[in-house]
Amino acid sequence: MKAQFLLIPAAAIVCVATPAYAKVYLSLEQAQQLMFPGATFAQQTLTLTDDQARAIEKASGTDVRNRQVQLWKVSTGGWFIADQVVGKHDFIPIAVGLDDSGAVKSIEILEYREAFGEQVRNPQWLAQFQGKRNGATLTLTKDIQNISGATLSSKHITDGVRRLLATYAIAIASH
Amino acid sequence: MPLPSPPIERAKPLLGTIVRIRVDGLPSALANEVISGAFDRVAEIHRLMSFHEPQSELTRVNCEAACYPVPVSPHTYAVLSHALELAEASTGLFDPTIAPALVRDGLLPALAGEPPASDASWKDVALSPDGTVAYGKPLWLDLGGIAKGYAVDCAFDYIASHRPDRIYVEAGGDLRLSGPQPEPVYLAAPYREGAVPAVMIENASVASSGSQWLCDEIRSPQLASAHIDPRTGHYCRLDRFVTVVAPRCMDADALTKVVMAAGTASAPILDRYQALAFMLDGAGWTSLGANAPTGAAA
Repeated sequence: MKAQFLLIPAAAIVCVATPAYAKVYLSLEQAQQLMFPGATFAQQTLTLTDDQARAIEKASGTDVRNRQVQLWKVSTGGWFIADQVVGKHDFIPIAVGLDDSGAVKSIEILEYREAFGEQVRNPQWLAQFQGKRNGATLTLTKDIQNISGATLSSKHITDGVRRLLATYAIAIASH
Repeated sequence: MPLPSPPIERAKPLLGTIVRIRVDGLPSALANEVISGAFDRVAEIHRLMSFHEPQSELTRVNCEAACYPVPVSPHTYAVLSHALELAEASTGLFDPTIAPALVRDGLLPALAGEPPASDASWKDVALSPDGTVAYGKPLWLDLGGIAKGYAVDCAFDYIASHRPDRIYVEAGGDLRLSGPQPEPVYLAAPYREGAVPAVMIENASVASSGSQWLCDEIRSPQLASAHIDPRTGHYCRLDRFVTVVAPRCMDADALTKVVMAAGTASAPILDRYQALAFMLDGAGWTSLGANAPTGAAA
């Protein structure tokens, strides 16, 4: 282990502004192949009716913001759904793989833009990182988890997955 | 010469936060397999040691261990024994039994069953060599941060066994990385005098704690720090920012609590865990531990 503390003059950090530190982890296709290796994917058109949306909201306790479900039927069995949940500052695109029985097989975060958390609201704080080298690492204070033991972003992902499971039960299983 | 493989990075919602893993220098198919395996290990730690999951092993221990010894998995046993060792080494500055104070203040949910004894502490937790845990009086263990650090370590060790060039594992601010050269980790400390605080680290873990930035999020200065000084039952002072660098992430996370509570007096325990701390308070930045004040550790 080696460690050395530095105070780097802000002016010495070359400015290539990436304030929100967006990170793309996986494309939809990459997520599909990770979850269902070797399978082919047939995109389905699914638009939730008013009744379905209401039933999903009731079952999951989560708002349905988009009636259009991005859904693929998997050749080897199961379903692949692309979705977005509300993060603290931006939407978080996620992918959820369901097996034949509708159980969650895998969840992947496709993009994440929130490494700075609450601090992005403070322009002075943000300014110091505007030149952060690509690939450099930022340690935040350990994030605070609310009473459910989750940060806001991870709670919204959990809520989103619950909504997709309700969507499966109400609108997909009978497909 | 084969082309160098691009780094593969993925993120999943685990441990109540977003867990990020990056691997450099493995063929992408293998990297993805290794990352999936590492996430599986994190998920297992979460299932075992979540305070919030009614089905977790820790919840069963919290509900039953005051009545009879409860057998636990090797993972839970390892974290518990390390937590108790740290509690002893820090004379209770790190105490995994402070959940009642957090429950009282609404930062953790109350469990079913008997409420904890108000005078319960880590000294009332007994680990037996037969792999069981028993409580001397009703109490609630919360392994939150230390289990998160342990999960990072488990994921890291699993990935390291495949010998990639670089590894990066992060769970909600607990970070462990390795690679061929030192990397800068910028600290989200308050901005002062035109200089950005950073640590250059190589093969190390980092965890940071601080409070002022959290006020905005939970809108209560009183709750702005979830760090309780076990000696007083009061929240730690709010104007301190602490970064701990340690070989293991489990230690880095746990030691932030010790430094938050004890400040400069925590140097001996930092030394014991080969850890360094960088603390910002009213007096400016202070280096503590192994090689303070230069902060360069072998």
